[in-house]
Amino acid sequence: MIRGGASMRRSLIALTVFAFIASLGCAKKKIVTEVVPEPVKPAIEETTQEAQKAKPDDKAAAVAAEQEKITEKEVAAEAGKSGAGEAQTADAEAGASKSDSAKKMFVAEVKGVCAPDAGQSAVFESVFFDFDSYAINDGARPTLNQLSAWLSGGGAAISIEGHCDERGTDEYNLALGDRRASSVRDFLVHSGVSAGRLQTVSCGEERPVCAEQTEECWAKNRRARFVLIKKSPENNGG
Amino acid sequence: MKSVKAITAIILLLFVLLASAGAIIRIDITSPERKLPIAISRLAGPGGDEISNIVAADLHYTGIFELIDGRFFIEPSEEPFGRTNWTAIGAEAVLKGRVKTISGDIRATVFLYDAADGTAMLHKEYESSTTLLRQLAHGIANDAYGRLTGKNGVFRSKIAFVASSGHDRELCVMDWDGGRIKRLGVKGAVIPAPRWSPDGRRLIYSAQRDGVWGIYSFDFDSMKEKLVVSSRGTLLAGDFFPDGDRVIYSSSEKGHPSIYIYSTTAGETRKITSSRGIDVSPAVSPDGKKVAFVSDRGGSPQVYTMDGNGYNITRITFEGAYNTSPVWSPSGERIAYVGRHEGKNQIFTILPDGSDSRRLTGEGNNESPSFSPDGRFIAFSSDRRGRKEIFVMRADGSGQRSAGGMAASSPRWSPN
Repeated sequence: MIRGGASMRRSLIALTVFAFIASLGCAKKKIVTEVVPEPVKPAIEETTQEAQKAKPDDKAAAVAAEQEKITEKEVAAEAGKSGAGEAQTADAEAGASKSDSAKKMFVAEVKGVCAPDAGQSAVFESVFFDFDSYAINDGARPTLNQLSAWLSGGGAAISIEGHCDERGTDEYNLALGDRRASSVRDFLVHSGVSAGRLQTVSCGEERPVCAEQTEECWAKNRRARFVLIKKSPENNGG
Repeated sequence: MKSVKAITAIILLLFVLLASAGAIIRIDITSPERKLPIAISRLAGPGGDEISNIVAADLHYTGIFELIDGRFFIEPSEEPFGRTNWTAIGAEAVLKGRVKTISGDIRATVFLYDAADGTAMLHKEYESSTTLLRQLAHGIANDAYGRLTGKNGVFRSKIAFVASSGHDRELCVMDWDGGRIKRLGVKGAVIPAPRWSPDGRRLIYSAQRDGVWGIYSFDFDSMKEKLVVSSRGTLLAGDFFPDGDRVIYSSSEKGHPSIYIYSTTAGETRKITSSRGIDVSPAVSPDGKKVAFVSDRGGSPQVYTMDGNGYNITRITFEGAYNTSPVWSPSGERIAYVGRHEGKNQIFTILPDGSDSRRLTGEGNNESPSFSPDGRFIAFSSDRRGRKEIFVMRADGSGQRSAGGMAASSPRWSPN
């Protein structure tokens, strides 16, 4: 039992004041980025309905809810979309823009471009490129000259496919394959072949002829490949 | 007498200090001095285990929490929260709750307690159909993360990617942790990485169909695909500008792959680079003022930046002979890219002025980096396990692990 009377009262008051000041000081020493005033009593703050009833001003929930529609709609969407399906959707929706670009494009019936080799055999031997290069090297010239002569002698039209080895990144390899095909086309045009009979396409690193991670295999994949195509009447569109 | 008063004063003072010590838990995530010890108790009720496991996995992956092992828990899930049961095992924050099923729906009631003073920092109810249990759990993790750090969690975000099946490519979307993989029904022979619109409601991507390249957009609201722009040559979708209207892309329609901007509202295209080589892979900075891209105009593929109108082209990578695939962090503070290192592709980050390049990966070939919406994580593709698949890691390179388990590449993290 503590006894003391008036001096005790004074000490207690001083202690209370001191403790109050000290507690204020302590709050500042925490590792704090923000102090969010929280309700002290554990009340239910909010109820979130995770199905389609998201609050319209809650953007994150709205996006989540819309994305959740994917779950429900998906069975119907997949049933409707086959390999040809989405192409048809694109045609239906594109309307004017598609027919405009059709007039600019040389439309050829190219079946299975960048598809597996079976069913799309090359019409001439391929030419090859150095790593990361689209320059026509010396070894390619004789083949290209023969190809040029063959094309000039007949009415064939060909597609020039540009391919890369798998070492680069996917997107850059698509651009590189495109440049390889263009380089070959430019060479052939320069040697007298009519540009209208040459189409180019890039297959990037998507259609390798071999899969080993060896210099020998990579060299085989860095190629331009020649495929015969049929001409079809230009699509005059709607 | 005096010594007794002094001791009393000291004891009372200590008591006041201790009582105020635990009133606010916060973690400074930019420079955490230590990991916050948190206990995730199994939610009582059906599905409670699965929910708790998802919340624990989400919080653990951030790298700023120390999850206390459940084997040390004293307090059973069904019993009410008793502060000392948790302080005894070193927990500073405790997640507890219960789950009920009501005719095909689940309702979870969740509390996040501050163990020092027993107050509930979070008390919330979550309800959804049972099929959305994972998203519900990710929402709990977001809220717990938000209360403890003051920042938005990204556990409800998505990763879009391109799945491979033989020679076919198909667009897919999955949760950030690899859960709930969904096929979008968009297929093609070649589909490079899709890009998200700024509002997260669309994807744009390039696809080659019947030998013709086009840039398409896929709308999540309508679940439909629409052609955006098509032309001769190879078209590769680059990025959206923050206005969600202009799209930047590369096209070889005029011979050499160059960079173009297409305005969907105006229906107009503008060519903004001209070089005799390859300009490709444009990426717009978060503020829309700068574009990073790849060009071989210097003799080898390197990363450059330029203004949105094509002016002020500046090279920023100078190490290595092959640097491609630039992407900006959401704050615009760093650019991630792919560089060749000892014969393989690896992920680097660099400051936009070209300084301070850091390599983050080392095993196998690692490509296609993409930042999470808070910039704390990076999704990428890796072939370290034999075939290309999607991986995620923290932005400092730690915590590398696979997500989704499919043969896939070209991941892109959603913006929200």
